Parts: sequence; structure tokens; C-alpha cells
Amino acid sequence: MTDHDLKNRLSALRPPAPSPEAADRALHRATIAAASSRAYVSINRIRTAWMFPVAAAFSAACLVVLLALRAPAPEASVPALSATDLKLLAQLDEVFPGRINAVVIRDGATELDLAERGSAVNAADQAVVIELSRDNQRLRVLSYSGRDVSLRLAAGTLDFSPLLTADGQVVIAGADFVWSTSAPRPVAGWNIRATPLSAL
Amino acid sequence: MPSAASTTLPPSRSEGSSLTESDAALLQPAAEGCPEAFSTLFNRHYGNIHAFAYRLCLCGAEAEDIAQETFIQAARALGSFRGQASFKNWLYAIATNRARDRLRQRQRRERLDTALQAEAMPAGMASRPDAAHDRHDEIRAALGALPLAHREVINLVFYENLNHAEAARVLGCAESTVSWRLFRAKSKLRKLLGSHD
Repeated sequence: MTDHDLKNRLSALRPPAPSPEAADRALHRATIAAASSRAYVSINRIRTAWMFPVAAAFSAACLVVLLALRAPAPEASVPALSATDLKLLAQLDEVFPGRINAVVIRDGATELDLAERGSAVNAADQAVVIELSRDNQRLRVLSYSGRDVSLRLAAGTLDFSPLLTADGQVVIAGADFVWSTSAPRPVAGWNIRATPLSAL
Repeated sequence: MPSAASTTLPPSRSEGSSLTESDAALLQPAAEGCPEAFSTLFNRHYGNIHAFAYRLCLCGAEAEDIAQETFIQAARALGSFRGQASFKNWLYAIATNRARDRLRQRQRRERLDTALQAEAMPAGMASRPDAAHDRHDEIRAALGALPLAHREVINLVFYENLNHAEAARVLGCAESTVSWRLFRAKSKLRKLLGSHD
């Protein structure tokens, strides 16, 4: 079946017409939303004047409680750094829009893998964090789904593309290996953990 | 997941100055609070966004909800829309995110496959002739068997005729990811529909 045939077959799907009531309701609510959004801007300036100290105090109290309750876990390194990772990626994306293939954090130093030319701007919800560990060595790679990553290792270069699936799994596809969240396995002697940054 | 409404889509390669004149002329007054301008934009795109949402969620009632949420979110974010992509593609991006949220909520209640099979026939379809009805159901079942990410690319590329680069911008992913998902989606659809040729 050619693409043309497939397209023809798919054209048999006929979405039902929306009910006029639903359309009227949607227009009414959207119009209200537009109006209230403009009002919100001015009201919000007043509101935040007193809300900010209250919210800050509440957040600080919650943070203290959480820190007191949460026991340190050795495997928690990926989630614990997620906010920092997202911030780092966002800042670098501003400097190199659409060019970030990967950010590699190695022994506390940060390395950049940049594409020669910018392509589609990376979306934050497509960000992936990959952790490679072997003996006492640990590498942390921040990248985006669909990017081509070239990682310099002692034994050579490891090329791969991380891919996010619809159900939030990560697939790492290399020239001669495929690693996935559901079927993890060591690659070139390195243990791999990977997760979408947005899920942390 | 970041809101699509707060995201400025990068300029489209094929669209260039991608706003149609009429949309461009209406956006500014709509953002400044002109209800007639907003109403015109709504009437122009609502049906299309509803159909787009239906092909993502395959449920008439949910499509109406998603279309409504899309326009509410767009209305709130009109001021931040910079016109670098087409207004329609911007709405697609918002609708896609709304559909993702909806399906995530639905999956919390029950598995998607069960939900799709259990759904009642949407209103307005009962009067279709049997053959068209059967073909509709066959395609609906085939699309329902795809993961949402694959339905998204089929919807944008096959139904809305966006190229891979435009679809990537709408979905906020790499063009190669769109190509890969489309390849997988087509393979599965051919398997599902091929036996009925």
C-alpha cells in the first residue's frame, strides 16, 4: 500500500461535526478567558505584592519539612539534580538556540556537544538525562529526543540518539546497540540509566 | 510539560511570513480585546481544531472539550503570540498538548484500548450509510491502536498536510523524531488495514 493509498484509506475517518451548543459555549468561555486574562495582568501586580512573602514562607516551611522527612538515597542523584539540569539546558539553549546536541557533565566539568547549525529549537519536554557509570566513573549527559550525541570515552567515541516514546520511556539507539528503559543493558562496559527530565 | 501557549514556535521554513493576511490583521485587535476579531478567528479555526482533536482522541465529546480548552488557552496567550508560525499551527500545538493531558488523565482511569472499545458511537454518526460507517470504524480502530505520539504525526502530516519540519515545530521535537514516528505509524497502519484490501 503506497502512501497515497494509505492517505485515501485514512480519509474515510469522518470526525463528527461539533454541536452548535459546544461551539457557542467554547466561544463564550474563550472570550471570557481573553477578557479576564487582560484584567489579570493588572490585578496580579497588586495581588503578588502580598502573596509573594506568604508563598515564600510557605515554600520554605514545606522545604524544611521535606528535607527533614526524606532520607538520603544513593540512587537519587538523577532526580535531585533535575531542576539544575533543566536550568542549565535552558540557559545553554538561549546561548546556542537549536544547536545543543548534548551537555556532558564529567568530573564536575561541563562539556558541550553542539550541532554546526541550529535546527528546530529544542523543546523542554523532550529533554532527557542519561547517566553512564562504570566503577567509580560517572558521566551525566543532558540531551533532547532525536538529537545525535557523540560521547567521548576512554575507549573511543560512543555515538547514539536518545528517543522519547509516547509513554515516557527512553530508547537510546546506537549504530550497534539499542538500550531502553524497559530493557536496560550495559553498553561498552557502561551501566546506563536514562529518564525524561520532565518526568523528574 | 510546558504549555504550548507560552511557547513561541520558531519560524516555519516553508511558511516564511506564515500568517495569512486575514489572520494577521485580526490577531492584534483580538489580543487588545476586540471580541469581534477574536470571534472571527474562532469561527475560522474552531471546526478544524475540533476535527484535529477528534483524530487525536477519537472521541467526539473529548474533541469538543479539547477544542474548547485550546481556544481558552489561546485566548489567554494571544498577547504573547509573536506570529513567527502560522496561527493555525500554534493552535495545533496547543491542541496537541491538551490532548496529551486528556489522554494521560484517561489512562489513569483505565487502559486506553479498553476505553476506546467501550466508547459509545459519537453523536451524528448513526445516520451514515453502512459502508461509510464501516470504513470510518475501521480507520478509527486502526488509529486507536497507535500510540498517541504516532497519531499526532499521522494527524499533522497526513490529515493536515504539514511537512515534517512544520510537524516537528508543532510537536516540539526533532524533525528526525517525526520521520521516525511516521515511519512506525505507517508500518503499523499498513499491517492493520492491509488485510482488508
